[in-house]
Amino acid sequence: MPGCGRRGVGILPGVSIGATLAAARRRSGMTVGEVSQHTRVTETIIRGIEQDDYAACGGDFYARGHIRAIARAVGEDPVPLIDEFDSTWRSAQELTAAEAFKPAMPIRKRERRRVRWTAFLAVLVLAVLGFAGYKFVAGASRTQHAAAGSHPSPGGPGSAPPASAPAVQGSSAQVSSAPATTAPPASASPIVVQALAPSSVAAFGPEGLANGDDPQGAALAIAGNPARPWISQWYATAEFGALKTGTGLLLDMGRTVTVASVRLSLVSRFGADIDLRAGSKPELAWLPRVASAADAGGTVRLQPGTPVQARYVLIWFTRLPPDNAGTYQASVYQMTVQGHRLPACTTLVWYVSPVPADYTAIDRINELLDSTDPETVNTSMRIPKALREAAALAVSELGVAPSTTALTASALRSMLQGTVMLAVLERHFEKYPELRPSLGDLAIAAAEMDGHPLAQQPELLRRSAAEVQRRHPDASPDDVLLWAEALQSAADQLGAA
Amino acid sequence: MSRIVLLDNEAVQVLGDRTHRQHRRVLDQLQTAGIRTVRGFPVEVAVPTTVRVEAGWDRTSSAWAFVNQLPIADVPLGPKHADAAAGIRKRTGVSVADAHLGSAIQAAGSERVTVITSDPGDMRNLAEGRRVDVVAI
Repeated sequence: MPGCGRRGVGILPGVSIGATLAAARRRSGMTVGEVSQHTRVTETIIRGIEQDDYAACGGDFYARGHIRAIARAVGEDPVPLIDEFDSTWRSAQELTAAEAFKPAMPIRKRERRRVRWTAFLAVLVLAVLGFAGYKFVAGASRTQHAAAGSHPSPGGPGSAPPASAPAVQGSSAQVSSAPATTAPPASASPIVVQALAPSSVAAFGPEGLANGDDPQGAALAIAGNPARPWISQWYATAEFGALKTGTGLLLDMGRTVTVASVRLSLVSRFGADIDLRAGSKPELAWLPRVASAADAGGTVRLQPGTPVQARYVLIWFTRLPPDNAGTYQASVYQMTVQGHRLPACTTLVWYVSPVPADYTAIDRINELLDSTDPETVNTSMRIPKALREAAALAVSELGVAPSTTALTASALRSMLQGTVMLAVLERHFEKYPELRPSLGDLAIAAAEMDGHPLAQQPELLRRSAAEVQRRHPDASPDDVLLWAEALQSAADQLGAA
Repeated sequence: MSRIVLLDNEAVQVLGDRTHRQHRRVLDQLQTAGIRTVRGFPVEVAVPTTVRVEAGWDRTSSAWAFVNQLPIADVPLGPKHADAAAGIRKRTGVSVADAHLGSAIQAAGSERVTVITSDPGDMRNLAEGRRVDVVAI
């Protein structure tokens, strides 16, 4: 391996790269552990580099990245160190970044989109990794909170939903604060948040839609008339007279949306304990608690720590406020869900990125993708070793790309283009909702794009889309094609029999 | 296997006109392309530059602001495409833009090709035996 086990030549007479970095670290008052935390370079590698031993770096390419990261962390100018490294350590066999990022063949059919693997790549790599990292961290955060299970679920032992830790807000007094969760990064903030109209509202009890209070009056809870609210049954105590664990109202948003907050208008001025629960199925166990308020009344705002994606939103009273008759009951006359709708019919995976409030980011990404700037940059992108080996095999044995770097960059570019396409279209659909396709429309489009015979059976595709979506709200057009093909095949076999 | 979706003159004009009755259908194709791409099945959307000329699509014009933001690649009329297009035009008598589209279809290599067009018959002629999936608008 290039660079393995070689030991130092000084950057200045008597001062090596490693010694320079070690001295700078000590001057900055940082420990090796702190530098590691800051740079995400392991302590072993940092200690090795400080002794001018680059054996653990995994190659000169990575060694340069580590040197740069460490230098920046400790306040040292990385440029002379990298120059020194290149002049004294660089292996003749190793590709330069420019060579590595250069496509071996001209990118086909592109003029405007000509690929030059330039500085934008590093920025984009970092942006994508940062976003993926955020999603991973956010997911992990939710999982950890679910595992902690500190708040008893009102749904009983059978319902231990993966509740994300809530942040709670409310206009009433004594709105309690729940454990904070990871705040969304700045990149996630420019979401176009708006009031989302629910498809329906229903009374909801511990056993679901079957035993909600005053089901006929549920629509009053979103009618906005304080003189005529939805009112639960009355109970002898705030704890439902020990008859049940809670009561509530279920909002069906029609399809999966991103919920930023819910505003409630209650007739009572205080005394209600309320959970905001959200999920993908209208069952208590599938509706994890995402925010809560205690002793609430009047106008209450329930806000998850991070926006949550859900089709169903449940307002769940776990303690009732007193009424004027000496009993206890809940009364709600308005509920408003704030959030944004996701692109229709796409799965809830990380690529469903928030649409920027303006086009700045999209314009900038397009500009970078179009760039013909020949400048290159090294990155310190780290990928699993097994994946790196798989990519190397794909390049050497299957010839899928001229180099693993080109393969990585190509995948990154493709992902960015797909993401930009969806983001621009989403913005268009938000402006002109009548243009937004249904899952059935997209399944037909997918069949047409492929020249699939099912394109001639749009009704079958629409029916299949409805069936698939009922079971899997986040299905893709290709899922529908498979489903329709299976239906068609079964029908053909029945016909033959 | 990757796929390339090519737009003809009519498809470009429909895309730029949200009041056109076929606008939604072209959007559906692009949405499907985007979804497939981010799911790991790359679909590239492209337009021959001569088709852009015929359709009046100027990438610097604010009149095309929405379309300009979509990642739709140009297929330039370089020497190879010019030679191929000249042959197609001589054999079929089609316009320069259609001949260029034909050369793009034929140059797609191992990629599968879809053309969004108002004239499916023409496209199959231009493909000259190469398989092409046609979305008629």
